Amino acid sequence: MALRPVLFLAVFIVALVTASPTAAQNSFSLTASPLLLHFNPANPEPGDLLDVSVTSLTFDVSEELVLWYVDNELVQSGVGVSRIPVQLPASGDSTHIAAVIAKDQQAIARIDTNVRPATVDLLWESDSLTPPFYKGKHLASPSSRITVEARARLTDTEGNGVAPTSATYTWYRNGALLKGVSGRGKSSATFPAPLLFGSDTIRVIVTAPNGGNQAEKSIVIPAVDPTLALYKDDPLFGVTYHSTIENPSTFPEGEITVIGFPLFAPRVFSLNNPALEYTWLVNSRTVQIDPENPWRLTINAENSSGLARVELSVSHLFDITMHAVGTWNLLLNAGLGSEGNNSLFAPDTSL
Amino acid sequence: MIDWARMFKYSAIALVVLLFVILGGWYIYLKKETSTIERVDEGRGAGVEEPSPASTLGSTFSNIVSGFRNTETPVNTPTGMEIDQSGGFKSFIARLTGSRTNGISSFSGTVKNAFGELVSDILPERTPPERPKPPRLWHAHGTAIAGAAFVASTTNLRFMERATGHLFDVDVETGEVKRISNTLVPKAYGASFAPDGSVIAWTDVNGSPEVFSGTLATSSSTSSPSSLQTTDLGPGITAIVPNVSTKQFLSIVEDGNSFALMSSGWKGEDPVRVAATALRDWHIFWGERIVLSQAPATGIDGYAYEVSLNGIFTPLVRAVPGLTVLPHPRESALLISSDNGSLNLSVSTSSAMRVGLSVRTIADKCVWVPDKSLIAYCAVPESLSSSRFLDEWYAGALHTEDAWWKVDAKAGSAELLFSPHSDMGVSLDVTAPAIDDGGAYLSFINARDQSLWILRIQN
Repeated sequence: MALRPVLFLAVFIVALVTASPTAAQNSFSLTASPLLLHFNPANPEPGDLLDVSVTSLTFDVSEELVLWYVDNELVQSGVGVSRIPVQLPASGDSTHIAAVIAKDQQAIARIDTNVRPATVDLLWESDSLTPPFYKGKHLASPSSRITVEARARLTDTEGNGVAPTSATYTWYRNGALLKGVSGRGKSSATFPAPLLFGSDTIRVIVTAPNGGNQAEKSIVIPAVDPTLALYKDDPLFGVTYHSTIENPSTFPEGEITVIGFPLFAPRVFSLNNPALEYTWLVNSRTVQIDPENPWRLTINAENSSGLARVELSVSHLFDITMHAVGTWNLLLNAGLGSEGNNSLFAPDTSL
Repeated sequence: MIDWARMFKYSAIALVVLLFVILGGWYIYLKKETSTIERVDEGRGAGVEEPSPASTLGSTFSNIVSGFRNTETPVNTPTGMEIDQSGGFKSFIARLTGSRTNGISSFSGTVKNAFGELVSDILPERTPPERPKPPRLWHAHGTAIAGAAFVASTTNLRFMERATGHLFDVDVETGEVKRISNTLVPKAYGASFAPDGSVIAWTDVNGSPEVFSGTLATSSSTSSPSSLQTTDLGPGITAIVPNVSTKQFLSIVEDGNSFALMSSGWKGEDPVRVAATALRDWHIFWGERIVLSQAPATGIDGYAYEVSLNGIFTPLVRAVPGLTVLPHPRESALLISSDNGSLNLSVSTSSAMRVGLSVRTIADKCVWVPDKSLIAYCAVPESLSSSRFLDEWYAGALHTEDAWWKVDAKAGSAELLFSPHSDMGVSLDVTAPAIDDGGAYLSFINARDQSLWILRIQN
């Protein structure tokens, strides 16, 4: 009966001795390193200055001799040197980093890793309304839809480039995981635009298959309010998208046609969209316009002073937050001298 | 007793005389009718010299004036208005009180004829016998154009008139302006050109853009305009640009729920899908390499890529707010501008090096000299009052007064070349700049009114 406790004690002592640090120094396997490497940033990009640090649950690194190797060259060493900066090449090539704990001129622990920087760009645009062949970005107005595209440059474990269709994309909107648009090869996603006066944070993590590297990126997309622009519709030259009508403006003609353009109106691809409602006033009087071309107004100043205060408001049938307004004071030069006529303009519709 | 012989004799004589009278009357009648027909034909423009677009006011204005000047209605009127005794008006009075009284006259025709002569005396000659050399800064076409480009290996600048779609050639050295096409394409909003002068243009007649390519038909006569053979390039094109060296173009085309970068021959033949993208807002450049740059907005990070023919996107510039770029057509140099509330311009001659420049403008207002000198010319706003330059400029809500600067990318320096506002009191908002192969002439469009200007670089 007393034999059992003795045997248990013997086994315990043997286990304790074999697990002691002294024994580990001679028999610890390097494939199961007691060292851990930490990187900041966690997903570095080419050209980044990487902060590398080493910790251990087994050793007190602050009291040990640490040797640092970058691409097999000793770059720094010293007692307690647990952290070094490493400049990653802008080319995006892989960088080999090793940390070694040495004692009595012998390596007692080592850890190696290859840092393969990856990048991902997040590009976006909206489906809001702009003039034909507009050279600027379609900005995001509330109720529009944003398309985001991730362009990642990843490598596999052998340093070969990973095709975009092979990587896995994980999308987040304001911190919430979007499972429906995430997955393998899903390099683009579509989201609702931010609310009025707000902004959304879109984040993507792109992971190469089979242990390859990883990249992540976040962007902030602001919402913009649609604005109204007034352009002249010339019978010869068409709509003068190159120059808005200023307030005030003077025209030598006695009759002009103008169009009201709600720049960045949401989910509208042309002015000829029944979702847009136009209300025109000229000199405080509502104008009856052609229902087929509600964005177009023709003003004739015959037998009038030529002064026209044009007011336009545009709203969206399905977006109550959209209400763009504009006012322009226009002077047309026809009819000068026709004094005594109280009619400041003769409204007309364009057909 | 009747003398039948004498009667017959007198009858024969009378008959001959009558015959002559009838013939004479018929001749006079025919002549009168011929004159009437000729007058009607002249009124329709037959035999009238083709109006020249050489007037600085543009061909449309010249056509109106020439119609007055070429009416040859004889003058027979009472005295006209006593306006002035200066040379032009003296002639005006002389026309009104001229001594020609033969034939039918009309007062309206008199006034038109005289007025035409008066206007032509005041305005410059449309086709002067010896054309003076254009000034250094030349307002080459006064009405709106759709686009312009230098024809390779010539001194010709070709442009498309916006109202009519007619093509014109401007000899920048002699100042001669010649219309070379007679196909009417109304409301041509934008145009770009292949090196041989073939055109790609877009119109917006029914509310949706229509893009077409055009090639001039070969004509046995080099003096008369040719027809422009057009090919509809189909719907869904959101951006299009010709190659700087070959007769091909690149376009961004809708492809289901995404977009494709396509290369094609000039008539859209042999389309090749180069790359795919989920986005449509791109600026395309096609010289020695294909460069895509995101359509920019003030303060929004933009990206530019070199795209290989197998669709690989390699970043050139990343995360620059309000990014616009201008790749060199044949070298690896790149002009890079940003707009984050203020404008900045830098130049990159290699991937590792970017040098900031002292001028504040955007790459859209610059053009590279197409040789190895790495010289560029940039139009720089002399003052900026907006903190949202790109957004407002692209919408047409903002116009600038620009001066031309010469940028040396190798030295990373810039020097003032010419200021239209300071030197000539002209305010020009430069857009769509172009340069000839020899680097001697710049052309550009004034964004205020889309008129065409040419600047001789060396004074």
